[in-house]
Amino acid sequence: MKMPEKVGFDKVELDYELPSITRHVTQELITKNACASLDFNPIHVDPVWAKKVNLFGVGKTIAHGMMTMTFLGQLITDWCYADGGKLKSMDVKLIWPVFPEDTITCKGKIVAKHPRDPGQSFVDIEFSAENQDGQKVAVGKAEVILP
Amino acid sequence: MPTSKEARTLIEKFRKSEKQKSFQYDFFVDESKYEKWEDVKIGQEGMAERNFKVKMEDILTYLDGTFDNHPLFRDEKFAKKTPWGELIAPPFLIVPIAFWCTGTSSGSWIRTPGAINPGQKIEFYEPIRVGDTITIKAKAYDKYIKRGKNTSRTCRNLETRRDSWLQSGGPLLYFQLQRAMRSINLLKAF
Repeated sequence: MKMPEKVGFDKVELDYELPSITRHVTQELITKNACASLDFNPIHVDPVWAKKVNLFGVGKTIAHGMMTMTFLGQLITDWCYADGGKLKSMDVKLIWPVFPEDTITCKGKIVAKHPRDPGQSFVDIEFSAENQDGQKVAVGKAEVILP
Repeated sequence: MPTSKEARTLIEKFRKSEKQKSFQYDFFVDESKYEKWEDVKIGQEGMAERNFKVKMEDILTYLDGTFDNHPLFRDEKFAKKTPWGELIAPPFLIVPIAFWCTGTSSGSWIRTPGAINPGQKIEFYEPIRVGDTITIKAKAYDKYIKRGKNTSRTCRNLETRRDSWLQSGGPLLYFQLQRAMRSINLLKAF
């Protein structure tokens, strides 16, 4: 589907697919994200500890669930924030761990439009993140206010 | 078991901002002080132990750590041309805000080594801006056992006050960050 020049509630159509984003996850990125988020849980930053406790039965660290959620948020901020769009809510389930050297692709689609007073109209977006094997790692939905 | 030397070396490489450098990154250090699942009382609420004063370096280091190059969040000239009219913080700056403010206070189980995040529900109201001082009130609203794992949910309301709003009688801004966190005994689970 063709992307409108400027994102606006009246211009977007149902089933429109947002431009996807892809991120390759490494231990360095995970640790950088730990510093960014201040979440230094050893399950994310300490491969030695993860091996010792045999985390998830594979003995590797995992990426922050909030990092995956941030990537899903970037799907939306990249798409509409410059035009005045704004997140209203996000509801995400993190269903599979993301390991170092995974590549995550985030996709989303408009599934509903909610007309309201000017400046309050919003769309529902269903989105997901999956790894290089097609395994979904996160699913959820967002409400996004569009100008 | 304290944070390994390998982990510490990589962490030190990326700590840049004042808050990052002063934050205790070894979550094992205060482990005994964190809220335990058994201690969580539904309905109990409290203010986080400290506030978060938003500086531009907090936003820039967060953007760098999340591969976010959107100019709205870092380029004042670009931001002025958008409907926002000024720089705003990326929505998920609420994550370091939550960890900075919480410490060993209410909701501190999020720092428990081994705690896993199964999901989040977040409502956004107003974007955060440089200069905001964010406070958090946390309230435990659910705890349960499912598939052999203990899970807790905390609702965090993030607020700030802006002088312009106080003068005009405008609203406070706030978010609700409902976080579910699953604590598992790793040595028994695997």
